[in-house]
Amino acid sequence: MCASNVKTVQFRRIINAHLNYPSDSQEKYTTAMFIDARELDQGQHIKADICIIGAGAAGITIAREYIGTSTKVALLESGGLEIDVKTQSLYDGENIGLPSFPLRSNRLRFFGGTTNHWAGHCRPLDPIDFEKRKWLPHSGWPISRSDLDPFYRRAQPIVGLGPYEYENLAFWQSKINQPDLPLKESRLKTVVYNQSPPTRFGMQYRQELKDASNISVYLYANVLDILTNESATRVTSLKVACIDGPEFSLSARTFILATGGMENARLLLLSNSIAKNGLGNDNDLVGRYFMDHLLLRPGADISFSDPRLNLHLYDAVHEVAGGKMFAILASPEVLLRKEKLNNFRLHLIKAKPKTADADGRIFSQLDAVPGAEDHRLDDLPERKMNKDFIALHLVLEPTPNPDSRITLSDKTDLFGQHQINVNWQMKDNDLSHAHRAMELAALEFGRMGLGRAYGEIFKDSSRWPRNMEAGKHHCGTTRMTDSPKTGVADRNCKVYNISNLYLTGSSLFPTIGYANPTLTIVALALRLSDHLKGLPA
Amino acid sequence: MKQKNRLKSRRAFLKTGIFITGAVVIGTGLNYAIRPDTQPIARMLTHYLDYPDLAIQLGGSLIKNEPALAQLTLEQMTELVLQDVGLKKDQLSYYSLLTNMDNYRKAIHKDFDIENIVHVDGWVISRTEGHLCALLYLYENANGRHA
Repeated sequence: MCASNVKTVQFRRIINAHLNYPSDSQEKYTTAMFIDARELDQGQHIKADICIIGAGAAGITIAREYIGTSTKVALLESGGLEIDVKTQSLYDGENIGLPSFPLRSNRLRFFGGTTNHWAGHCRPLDPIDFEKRKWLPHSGWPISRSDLDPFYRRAQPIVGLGPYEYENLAFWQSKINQPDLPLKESRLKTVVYNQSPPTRFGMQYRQELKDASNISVYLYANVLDILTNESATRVTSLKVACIDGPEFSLSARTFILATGGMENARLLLLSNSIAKNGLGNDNDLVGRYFMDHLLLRPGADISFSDPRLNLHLYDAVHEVAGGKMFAILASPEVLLRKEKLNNFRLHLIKAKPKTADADGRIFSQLDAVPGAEDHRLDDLPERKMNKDFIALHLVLEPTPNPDSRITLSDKTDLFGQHQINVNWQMKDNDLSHAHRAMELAALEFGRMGLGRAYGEIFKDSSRWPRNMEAGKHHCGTTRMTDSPKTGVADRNCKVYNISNLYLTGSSLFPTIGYANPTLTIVALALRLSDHLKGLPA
Repeated sequence: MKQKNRLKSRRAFLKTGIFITGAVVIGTGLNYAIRPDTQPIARMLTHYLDYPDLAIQLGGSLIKNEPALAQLTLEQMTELVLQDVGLKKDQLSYYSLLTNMDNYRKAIHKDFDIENIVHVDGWVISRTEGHLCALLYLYENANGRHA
């Protein structure tokens, strides 16, 4: 046994200890396919059929699709099985646009990726989100919701969700017996949201991947450069390095970049030894159209006229049929089209008011179904005691903006690689969309006779409220479109003009609707793996 | 505490008013016309509002924001508030006062339905509610409580 093999076995013992495997199990050693890349030899060359860069939700999903096949898969992960400071520092960069969260901490760079700290909210994008909307510049996916529907269904259990019944509110209500609000459906509707446990992909699927003899997971393996042929039309190999270890290379038939909404763009831009502007960047599109959800938490507080109102469908998570759900409010497509609105959702959160400092039950006497015999609430003890408000949290789809972009910074990381500058920008009309979304909610709560809305956004509609924040859903920097003039990847997620380089993850999203991205990320990953399996070997 | 006492007295007033009105109605028939003085009518109408301090604030802001409302006297504002539910001051009866609550509920419901709303001090309220707040503001001013 050569020295490097001895080291590998030693490391596998350590990894196995992490995984609670018996350290004396020779069988585990022979099947264990978690490899500490720091133990590889300097200059070592690795071969695989498919190489996936990044072991987050997308990368792990694709790797799992190949378990039990004859395809040799190499899954490269920058970090280890747990977070470590040095690796996490590779995410350093600077927010030079709108204020956002620190780049080092809002993404996680170890096995499982950012699913190691996600909240678990899930819903497919709406059909309208995939459409080219005339009022929404740069909108339109090259695929439709119906193209993705079968993959959403398959993604559902992978993410740890129950029945795929997003469009069937009655299904859930029949099981939990909670009423929905009597909304004017041309204005707002109750929408089903699912809640993942949340599934930590790195924990949930570690064993499966470890047991798969055809999957090799390389930990601490940082891809520094994607190397191509002279015409930059085919990827030949990867230059990979460890922070405290060797540099090595990896060649494969197919390469899949699955490093997230920011790093996918960064790695393409960094890979500029042949293509001077970076790979896939002939039209200066890599890194542009960076998007994040626009959040107001809260956008408004609703002061209730009647504290007896049952909002459990919305303000609690219900365990039903092997899954968890809650409800949100959203506008119907017909209204979005009529008013030319970006898509949005509203969460109803039981909370003390953050923005309202006055008791808004001015109109309690007047809030009732007209004709009601007795609506006086003076004697209700809850009325005197209960000062709870419902906070309406807004999640707004941003307008795609080519000037909102990720570029390479002059600053460098531990490898001497350029960090990123994130110039997050929004369009002026995003504010008017937010204002209208909150106004629609105010109208409905007033119309239903439930309460009145107070919000900073209603005080001054010319500026964003101070509590506007990002959703930490980084999207759009390598968008998929039907033309290389408008996008980086085609409908099959292949980088234009490069025959064997594919992208996956939220960087592909041309628009992002209001839904959290993880379910769509997993669905797209499944679709990509199906596509690749269908290609000639 | 001051506000609570005030609320208590306002509700007591309303209850007493309803009781007396009911007695009058029983005694004299539903179409007995009341004396069309502005002050009592305004006072009765503004008792539909709870938490008068905030209502007065909203009423004052609305009047400040809308020049058309700023020109109205207490009497004219009272007429406007009555018009919101299809009433005229000289056509008032005790019966109509008794049923006004429901008329206002209907008017407010309709306001929100057709987006007849106003934004005032960060609140979104129906125009009918805005008029009631403005009436309360003028009424309180007329009685020297909110100069």
